[in-house]
Amino acid sequence: MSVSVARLAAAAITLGLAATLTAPASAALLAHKDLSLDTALTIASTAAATCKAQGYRVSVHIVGRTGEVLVALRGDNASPHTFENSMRKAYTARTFRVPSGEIVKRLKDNPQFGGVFLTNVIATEGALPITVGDDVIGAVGVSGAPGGDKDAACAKTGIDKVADELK
Amino acid sequence: MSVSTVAFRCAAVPLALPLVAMLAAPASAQLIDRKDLSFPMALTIAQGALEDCKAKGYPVSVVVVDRDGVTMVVLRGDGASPHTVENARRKAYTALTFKATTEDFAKAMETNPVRRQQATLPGVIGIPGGVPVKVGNDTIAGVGLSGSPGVDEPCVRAGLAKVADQLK
Repeated sequence: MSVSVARLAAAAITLGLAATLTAPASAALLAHKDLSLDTALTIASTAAATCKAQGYRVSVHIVGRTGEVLVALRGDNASPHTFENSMRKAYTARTFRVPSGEIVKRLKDNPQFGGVFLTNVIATEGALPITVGDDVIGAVGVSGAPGGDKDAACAKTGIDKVADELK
Repeated sequence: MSVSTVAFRCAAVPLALPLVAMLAAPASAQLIDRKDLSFPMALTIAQGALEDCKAKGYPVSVVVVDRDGVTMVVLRGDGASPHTVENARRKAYTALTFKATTEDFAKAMETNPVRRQQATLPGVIGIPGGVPVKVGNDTIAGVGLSGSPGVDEPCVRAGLAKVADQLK
């Protein structure tokens, strides 16, 4: 490539870049809904109460859109690991936008699935994403019931409780 | 059997005797009788503190830790700055482990070099807003709140007031 052609190419790239950086007519702030503490706490305490009523000693976490912990509840006499486990399940459901039980299947189908090596990701059932339409705005994770399916069932009662607010 | 093994066994026998004596329960041995915060109480304290600050116009985060400094409840308030959760947890832990408000801890840091060293321990922080939860003289938990400069502790005390009758 001659120098002049290279300059022309560079100029063209610069122009294109400038056009990209200049705000197009469609540029706007992101508008989205996020969980309030009230809604998050209702989901968490409902999930905890459902499991407790069945005799399960569980801990519950709610994470928000960026995986940040919004609510953490350690149930009376819940085993120590349940606290971290419920957080990691919730984070996993949020970041992959699926129930954490789906990650169990994904890992079974593809033992090389690298996502499970990321910090805080865990392939264990018991967490569900919290959605507004198609937008995942957080997740609820439960740990301590005898079986991830039972954890997930408790989590679901929490989300169901605020279904009217999730829109 | 080698000479060294015999020598080891000879040494081990006198060591083992006092150990057995120590392990055997003395007449005074018994389980420790303790009261601890229940989850509903911890949540009531945290919510009461958060709502008091919210009413004052401050978005805050609150953390309650138990007797061992283990986190029981975390609430991140709407609009609370990101650092407030960690700050609240460290205040709660500091109040619990030093059995004093973090305001007292912070004051002691000004004059006491030991306190300044202790502030370098993981999880400890000398910023007002942490309050120990006591039953009599027994410190059973800590509450920390962050996000409302100057009134963190009054908000925590409003939360504690909700369960004052049960703390005995």
